[in-house]
Amino acid sequence: MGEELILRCEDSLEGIFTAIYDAFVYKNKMVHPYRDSISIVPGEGSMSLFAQEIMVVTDEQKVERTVYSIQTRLGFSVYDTLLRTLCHFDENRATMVLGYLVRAFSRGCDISDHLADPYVMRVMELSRKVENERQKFYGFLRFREAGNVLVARMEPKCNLAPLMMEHFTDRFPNENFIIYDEKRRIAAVHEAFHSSVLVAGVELDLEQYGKDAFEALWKQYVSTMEIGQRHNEHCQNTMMPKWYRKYMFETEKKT
Amino acid sequence: MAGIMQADGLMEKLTVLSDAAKYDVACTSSGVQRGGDGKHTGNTSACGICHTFAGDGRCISLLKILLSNECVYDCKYCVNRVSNDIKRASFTPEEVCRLTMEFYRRNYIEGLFLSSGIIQSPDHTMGLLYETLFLLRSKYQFHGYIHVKGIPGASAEVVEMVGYLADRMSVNLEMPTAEGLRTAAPNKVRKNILFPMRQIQNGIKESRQYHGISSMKSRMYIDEKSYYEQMAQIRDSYERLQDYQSGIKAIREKNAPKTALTDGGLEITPSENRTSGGLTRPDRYFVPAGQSTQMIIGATGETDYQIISVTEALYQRFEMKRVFYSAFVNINQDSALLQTPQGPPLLREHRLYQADFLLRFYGFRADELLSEENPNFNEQIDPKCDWAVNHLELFPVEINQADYYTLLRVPGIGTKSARRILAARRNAKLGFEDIKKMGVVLKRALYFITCQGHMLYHTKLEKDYITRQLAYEENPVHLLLSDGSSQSYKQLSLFEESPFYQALQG
Repeated sequence: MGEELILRCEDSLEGIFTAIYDAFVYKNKMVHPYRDSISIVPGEGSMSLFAQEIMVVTDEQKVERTVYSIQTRLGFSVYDTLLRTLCHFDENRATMVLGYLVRAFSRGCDISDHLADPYVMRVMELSRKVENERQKFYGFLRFREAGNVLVARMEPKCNLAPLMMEHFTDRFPNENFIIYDEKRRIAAVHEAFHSSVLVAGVELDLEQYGKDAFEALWKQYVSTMEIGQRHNEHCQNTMMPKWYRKYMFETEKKT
Repeated sequence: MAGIMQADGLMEKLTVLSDAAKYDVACTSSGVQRGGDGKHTGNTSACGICHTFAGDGRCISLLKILLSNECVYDCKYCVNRVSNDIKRASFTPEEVCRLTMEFYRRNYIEGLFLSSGIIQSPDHTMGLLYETLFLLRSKYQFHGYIHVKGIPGASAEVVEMVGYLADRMSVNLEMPTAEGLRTAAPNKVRKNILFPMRQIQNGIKESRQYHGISSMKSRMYIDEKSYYEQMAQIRDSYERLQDYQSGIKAIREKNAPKTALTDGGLEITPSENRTSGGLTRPDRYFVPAGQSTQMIIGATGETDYQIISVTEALYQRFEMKRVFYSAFVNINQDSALLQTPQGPPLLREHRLYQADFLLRFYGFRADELLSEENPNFNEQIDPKCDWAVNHLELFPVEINQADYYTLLRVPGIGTKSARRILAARRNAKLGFEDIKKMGVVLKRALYFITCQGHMLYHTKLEKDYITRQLAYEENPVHLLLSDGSSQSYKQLSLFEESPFYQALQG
């Protein structure tokens, strides 16, 4: 049996894609048949006594080559699934994606049907979670008008900022808008009629923008829409758990 | 902005007109996939997006308002009926457009759901709806979702014109049976409701066939280029406001000189020739997200069997995308309708939706679920479980071998998990752990399945034992009513009276 190997990389999509590239290099050098002995750890955490640990330095070129070969050899739907999986907060996400890729390159692009395989199943679960959360935020995100720009704040559990822009750019091509992840300090910025950019590690204070006049109208609308005789807070909480509502003013109780 | 709101009383109008619209059930924004045009606001998403949930747990995805709550009709169940002394208000089309646009760009809504009370006549009302949609689509260049009500009794021409602008249309069936409608809505005739339904159905079919889609159920993936061309054509043909207004006026008076509307190829032919329901422009997208309808449950004395039979007919003969059920909220306390002392019949509505899904996605027929002898759904367990415990001779089924429709008959297996099972078992033998991860609800399914020849536990395969387990499992009261203390006691006594329980005793 081969020795356990841990690749420690930067906690970002680029870092993980670099580590995946390196992992394949190490795997291909192995003499014995590969038995999922390589794991990738983004950022700190998870020490192991008996494993060899290697630091991975993020390399733009390796990222490009990894992404390119996934997209061309396995197709965009597999790539999208993996991208979503990597946006999850699970510690083992990168290792799972690596195991998935090892299988995918040997078995072909119908890999997503092999649900009895633990790696494929786990990737499906993680990407589904991210996709569900993204769908929720598509609806629950609230923009506030601040001068000539619309600003939205969110605190998603998964790293959604890279995944949100496709939808909103298509929807509001003619608006300037910012979607800001308050927890990770990532801002997705879109300038009207231009493509959007992702800015990591920025401090934005969006609190300063006062109330928007349409917020009162919307709040009134939402409270009017309830049919009193059918009141059902339990159902409301199931469909829209409270942690989503941090920046949704309409369900705040009147003070 | 505060000034604007006070000046035209937007806040008050919004309150009155959304309050009047909230009893309409449908708030879906699904069924059509359309990318933006890269220049203007809006796109639509095939799966639909919920933007918030009201305190009653219902999804809000569209701005659901009436253009006006003035109404010349006197339907007994409706809050807006002419004999009610309530505050009346009307939006101007401009106001609706502005609200929609401003809400939309703040990501509050997915689009607009526009309906209206009957002002003067059905034709006049439908004309106003058209005017609003036209403004929204052309002047404001809004490309989001629009759901609009078809007003029964409106002429075929104006329904068709609205259909080119809307994504979904719905004509309310109101009551499941014709007798029910006669008692509850003296001004409405069943024929006038079914006629536009048929017209819209034929229009959708024609337009879908032109675009190479044979299914009436599938989601519509719009070719953006031809869609935006269609919108531009409609816009151009009405470029001069004068033309457009004379056209609307002509339609309302129903004696339009043909030239007023032939501009841009949208030819309006006299209505006699239109009974066959053909579109004048089948190359255009017509109501791409399909047609829906709704009926009120528990206002008149229909049984569940009657209701799902009507539903089945609506799906088969009118090829509806959805049928919605609305538990009767007794606002007017009208003596002609049934009283609902325990509040709206929510559990019944819930059971009907469950049966509705069985009809649409699971290959069930109405007469498999209920019959003349057993005309109402079981209070305790859902229709699928009920069917399964009554057909124990067909179970258990083997997960690794059973075909898709057999898998779908198993309680606890849905369309998604069934499809995952089919895909996964080509590559491996599946066990209970695997299918659990695929989304199968084992606590319901375990009585009905085997994996590689074994059941999950040794369990009694007895009808009343399984029923008790499943009923305990479901606990519908908890599901439907957060405060339902009074109803939960009722539920127990209902159980003892139900034919099902008596059958068990006997």
